[in-house]
Amino acid sequence: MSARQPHPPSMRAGSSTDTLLSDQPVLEVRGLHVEIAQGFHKLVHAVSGVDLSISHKETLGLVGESGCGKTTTGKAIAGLIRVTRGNIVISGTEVDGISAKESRKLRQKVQFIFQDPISSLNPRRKILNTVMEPMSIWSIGTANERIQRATTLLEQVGLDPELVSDRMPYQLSGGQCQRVSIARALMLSPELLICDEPVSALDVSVQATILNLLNEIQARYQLSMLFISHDLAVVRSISDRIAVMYMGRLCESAPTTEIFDHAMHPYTNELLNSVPSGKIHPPLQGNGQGDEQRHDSGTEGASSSTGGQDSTDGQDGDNTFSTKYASANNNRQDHYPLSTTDQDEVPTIPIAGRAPNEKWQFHEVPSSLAPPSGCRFHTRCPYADALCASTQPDMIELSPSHLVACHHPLGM
Amino acid sequence: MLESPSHIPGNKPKQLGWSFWISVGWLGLVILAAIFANLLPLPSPDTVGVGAPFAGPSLAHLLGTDELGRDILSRIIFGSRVSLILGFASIAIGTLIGGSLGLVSGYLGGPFDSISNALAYIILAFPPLLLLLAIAAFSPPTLLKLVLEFAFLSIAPLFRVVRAATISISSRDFVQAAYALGASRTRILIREVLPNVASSIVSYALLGIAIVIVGEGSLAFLGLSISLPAPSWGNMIAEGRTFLSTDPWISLFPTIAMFSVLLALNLIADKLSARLDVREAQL
Repeated sequence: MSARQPHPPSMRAGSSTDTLLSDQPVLEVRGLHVEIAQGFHKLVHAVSGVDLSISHKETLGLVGESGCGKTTTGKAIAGLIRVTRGNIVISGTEVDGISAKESRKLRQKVQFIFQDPISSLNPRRKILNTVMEPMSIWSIGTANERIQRATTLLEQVGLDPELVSDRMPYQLSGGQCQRVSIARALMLSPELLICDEPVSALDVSVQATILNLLNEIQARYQLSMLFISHDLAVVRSISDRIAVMYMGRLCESAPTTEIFDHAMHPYTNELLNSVPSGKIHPPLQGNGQGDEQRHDSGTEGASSSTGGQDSTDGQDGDNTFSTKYASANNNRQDHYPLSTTDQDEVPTIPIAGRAPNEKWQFHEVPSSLAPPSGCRFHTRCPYADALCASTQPDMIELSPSHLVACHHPLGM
Repeated sequence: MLESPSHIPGNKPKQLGWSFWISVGWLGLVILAAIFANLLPLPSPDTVGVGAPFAGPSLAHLLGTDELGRDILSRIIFGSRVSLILGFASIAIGTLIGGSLGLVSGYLGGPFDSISNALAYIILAFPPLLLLLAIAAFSPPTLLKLVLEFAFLSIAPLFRVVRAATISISSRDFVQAAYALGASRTRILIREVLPNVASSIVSYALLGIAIVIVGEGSLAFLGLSISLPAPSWGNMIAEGRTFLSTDPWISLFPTIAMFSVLLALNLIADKLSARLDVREAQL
């Protein structure tokens, strides 16, 4: 919690630019391809050329609809899925071509928080042993030291070690299990935490507390985070920068406020429009509000950490956060409205001298077994033309640190 | 702090119940009797004429005598050795081989898994009784041979059960989490996967013992188990069937012995699997 003070949350939005100068990125991904064989002839193009970079202490939010390859990207980075092509560099070490032993060592630096909190804990192991397991895998410390560290971490993630140590995972709630997962991930002091929809399986009020916790431990341990989610409100509350993914490729990448205010890729725009609430989009007035929200979340993180086991402190945190989410999560549909969009709802943001194609109509999400040519979004894009169908757009920096892969970016 | 763990339900593991303990007690009694059969005050099982032939149950011969005047209780107790040794030994060997193959195969996947799975299918395609008959036709059965035959036959089914359980466990997130923490494959297999498939191994192996005991009975009924006059439950039932209409107890008592042991094994397997299953037992 002392680490929290020198970094007021409001400053953190700018942290990505600060640390860019300081040293190499914690994670650098270049041209990542993951193709998974299905049967004898079919190939699922899960990830097709993703470039990512996460600097020290930065949180990158990775969003996109179900099946777009977000999780696959995360798991490939953590080494849980075989990479077909591409380079992954973790704090300066190229993952490809190192020995199995080195790769085991390197894996410690990247830890993964899974979506399903219960399934990520061994059902036959007591909580304390689960948290100590990382140290015993690497034979670090004596039994006493292990217990000491595990207890400390359990406290830091907001669990009472005395109460939970001897429990089994089934005796804990989803949120508590997720806390245990976080404690376990922190045992080996990783540099990068990959959170794969860590809160989407949780109750809305618990989501808020877990996000607070992630914010808090990120500041305390100076972690970088890759935060994968389909929930825009959640991603917005925690990310410094957001990358939008569609069918295995990145569409757009920009600082959080920038992407919510000035989405340039038609897909990003659709995604933002598809949040049922309307409080997220149209854009907020100015950047101030976004910062304010970040500030809120930050102070909560700080207060809950100082509050320790005090439950009222947490309650406060719940309220601010949950109201914010409630607006975005109410009436959440199973699918993004992308799949239900009527012609009337075709976005009307004008692009340079062009109105949306009048003949455009909704198309099914293409199969990742045979992804569309050119820009992968062209089959569903209201602005698509012949160029989009034939040529794949590159990621271009259209405004400072705002990269877009589109032939006809919005608002240009 | 935020979610107080004080509301954690104080679940107690599911009780095993009286049927489990009665079964364990009965099985224990049968096993003890088989081990210490020589010390029991029983007439020798093979001695002809320890009593009058076809004598019904009496104080001298609690379960009566058979057509040659041999003591049925003594023959049942000595005969239980065959069933028990065969059942436990063959399944122990089968579990060791089939179980470890299934564990490795299910966890590794890939070509090794495909090949061993195909082999298991091929072995399962043979009708087991026919295979035993064919072997028995060429060489007279001994206890050791029977143990090995049944062990071989139990490998494939045990392999498939353990492999299936391993595959379902291996895809769980905590296995991936252990990998991300840098655990070696061996460690993951032993510390993460094995404890979670152990319950299905144990309960399936217990059922396997019951199946082997029935299998020996079937073979003995056909005269292809261990040779007479050494008693086994199967050949006692087979011998007594000639006299079913007049002196039913000659077949009835060994049948009851076999039935009760099978029932006990099944009950133990059932209760254990419920008790060891994480969801069902709230363990």
